Amino acid sequence: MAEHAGPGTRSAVITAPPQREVDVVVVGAGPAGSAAALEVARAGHSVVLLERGPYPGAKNVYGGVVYGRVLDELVPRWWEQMPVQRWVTRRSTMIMTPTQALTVDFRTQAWGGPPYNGATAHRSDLDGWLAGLAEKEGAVVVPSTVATGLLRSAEGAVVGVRTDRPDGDLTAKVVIACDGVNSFLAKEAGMFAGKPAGHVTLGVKETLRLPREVVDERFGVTGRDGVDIEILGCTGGIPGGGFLYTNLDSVSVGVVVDPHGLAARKIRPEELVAELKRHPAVEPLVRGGELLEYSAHLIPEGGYDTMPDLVGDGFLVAGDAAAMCLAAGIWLEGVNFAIGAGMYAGRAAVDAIRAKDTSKAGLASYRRMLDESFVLGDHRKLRRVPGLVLGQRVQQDYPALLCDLAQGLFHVDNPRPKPGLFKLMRRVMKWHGIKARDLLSDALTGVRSFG
Amino acid sequence: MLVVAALNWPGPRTVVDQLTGIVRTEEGRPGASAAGLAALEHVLRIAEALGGRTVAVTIGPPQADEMLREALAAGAESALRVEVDPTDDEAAARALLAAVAEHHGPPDVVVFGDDSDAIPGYLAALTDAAQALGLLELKVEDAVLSGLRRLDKGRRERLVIPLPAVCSVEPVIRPRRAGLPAMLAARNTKIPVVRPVVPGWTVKAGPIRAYRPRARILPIPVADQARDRIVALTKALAATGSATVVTPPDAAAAADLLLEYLSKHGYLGDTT
Ligand SMILES: Cc1cc2nc3c(=O)[nH]c(=O)nc-3n(C[C@H](O)[C@H](O)[C@H](O)COP(=O)(O)OP(=O)(O)OC[C@H]3O[C@@H](n4cnc5c(N)ncnc54)[C@H](O)[C@@H]3O)c2cc1C
Repeated sequence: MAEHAGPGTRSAVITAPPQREVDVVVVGAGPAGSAAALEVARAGHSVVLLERGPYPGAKNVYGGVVYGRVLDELVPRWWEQMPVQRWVTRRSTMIMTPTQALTVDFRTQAWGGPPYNGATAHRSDLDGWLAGLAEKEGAVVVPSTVATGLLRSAEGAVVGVRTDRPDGDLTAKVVIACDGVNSFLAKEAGMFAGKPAGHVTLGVKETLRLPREVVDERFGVTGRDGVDIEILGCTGGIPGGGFLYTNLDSVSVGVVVDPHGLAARKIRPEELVAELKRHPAVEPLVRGGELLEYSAHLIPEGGYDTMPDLVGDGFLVAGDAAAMCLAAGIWLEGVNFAIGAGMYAGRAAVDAIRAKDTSKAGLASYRRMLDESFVLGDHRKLRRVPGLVLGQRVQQDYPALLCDLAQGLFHVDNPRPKPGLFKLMRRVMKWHGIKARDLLSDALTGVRSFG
Repeated sequence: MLVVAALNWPGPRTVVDQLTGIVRTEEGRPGASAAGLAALEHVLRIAEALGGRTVAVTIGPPQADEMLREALAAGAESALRVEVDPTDDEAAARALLAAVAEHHGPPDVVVFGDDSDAIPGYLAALTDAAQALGLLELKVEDAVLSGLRRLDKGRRERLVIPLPAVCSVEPVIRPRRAGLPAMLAARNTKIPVVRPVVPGWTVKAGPIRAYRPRARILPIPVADQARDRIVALTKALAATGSATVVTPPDAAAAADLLLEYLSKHGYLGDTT
């Protein structure tokens, strides 16, 4: 516990029976919190959604792509009301060295119509919309209010939260912690005991204004179609990756990097973004973009093995607070996992309240629902991917190998005859000092994880 | 005693790109400004000191309800949202006045944040109230409202403000933090909405032009050469009077001197 930052031991013990002012308190009006509050309110129970920002979405950062499929279960025909910038109909993975880029580019118009796949959206719009849905169902959203600690019964069960407002204690039958990466509440509840610490990466992002026609032209899209580019090998040797997404009349560009690597190289994250923007494959796409916003935020990237306990007496943890973000190379998804986890947490709280048992046992259906869904399913399946993707070989050696391989393949070196693929491969592996054994073992890990 | 906090709802802002000079409008950040929150805090303090009722009012869209609920949670007794699209500051002042008067009667003190443009001035003119704008301090001492205002060169001006009064304040005090029970209670409060009919312009301003004194018709000077006639007409070579330093005893006398000079030299038109 000690190595986790945060209050940790500040729970206030309530000796008198708790007042139980509301059925559920949800802390954090990000996607996880709003989904949880929406489910509880919809079931007719009283729920308060606390948010430290002045409005939902005020403090939230992400790259910009939402995968909305999980919303089918929560908001029927969500695509008709979600505040979307563009629908992602083109997904590319760009593998680069400082002077080369190999792009695998996929586009499908199937994602450009209902029921859609991914969308770009601004967080303040998206979070405001989700919180608004919860509010419409009767949830009480309280902005500009920080949960500063947990309230516990003499037996140790969580019975509410303390906030930074005068008379700020709020008791509840269930507290759902959706307070994002570095969740102080989950730490304070002891949910991380025995778990490895420090699995966070730093995400930095710039939003650049570009006229809509320019975005359309440069990215080869029209109407509301949009592009999602994930980038590997763009972080100057520091473990991480990059992204470039299109909004209606702006683009988001950024990197996700290991903060320790950043500190060791004594480089500032915005320099990495600047470098990425100067790359010959990226520069023509972002040229002339006017900087609208710069933001930075931590991302839990440790995956399944670093998740805290998810259920305690009177207490549930969801979303980034439970490290449910999938940051694995070609995937950077957190919002969909947060919405899914929040939704199940809300349902579990409702079930427990109805059964009049909000103890750890009474709330156990949360873990079951997560296990049966994509939330823990994907994380379990991809548990080895963070280690693989953030390793030196995938970060530096393989991008260089693939780029050189492509260069060798496409380079026309007449009058010499074209080299065979295997010969080329052997040559490039030798240049980069890559052993066949390592390549095979990584390929196997990849197949096992992704297969 | 009715004390009103008039909170500014930020409309779209005009942003100029420093490099390209391109001008565009952007939605403002929703919520009360720091000056608006200071105004609310002053209103609560004035009402506590003078024993009055408090109202928080804004001209804004439904999203502004949130800001008013926070004002209620902080201690305002009632709130009012005025939904009009005022064409100018005078119309905005009229709309505010009509809405408050209809629901609560005529206000005794209205406090704005100093980001409210000319609305406080118009409101003061409309209600014949004293106006004290851009205040650093606004307080009640011995049941008298007083304010402190910055002047040039670091000087300060202390004002005794008679009632009814319209004031605006700088964001120099932090608003009180609403308690959690009050926040929770205010969340479901329905904010009354008023849509007053606002009369249009009462003062019409014409296009701005440089002042041109009326031409004076002078007899043609008697001289053979055109040059001489021009010199005679313009008195170009005549000895000119040196600058006069006047030291009037007060502002009124200075104004008289200026008027006299302007009229003597024909700048105020033909007054004969
Ligand atoms: C640079 C970057 C790029 C990303 N790109 C993507 C992407 O493209 N797609 C994607 O799906 N995911 C992406 N993610 C991940 C995604 O942002 C998160 O996984 C997701 O936001 C998690 O949602 P959440 O509700 O769990 O937490 P958050 O969105 O972090 O919400 C937590 C909320 O709790 C509030 N809060 C925190 N503490 C307290 C407290 N004590 N009291 C009251 N309120 C509190 C916060 O203000 C916040 O509103 C990215 C993340 C980053 C940083």
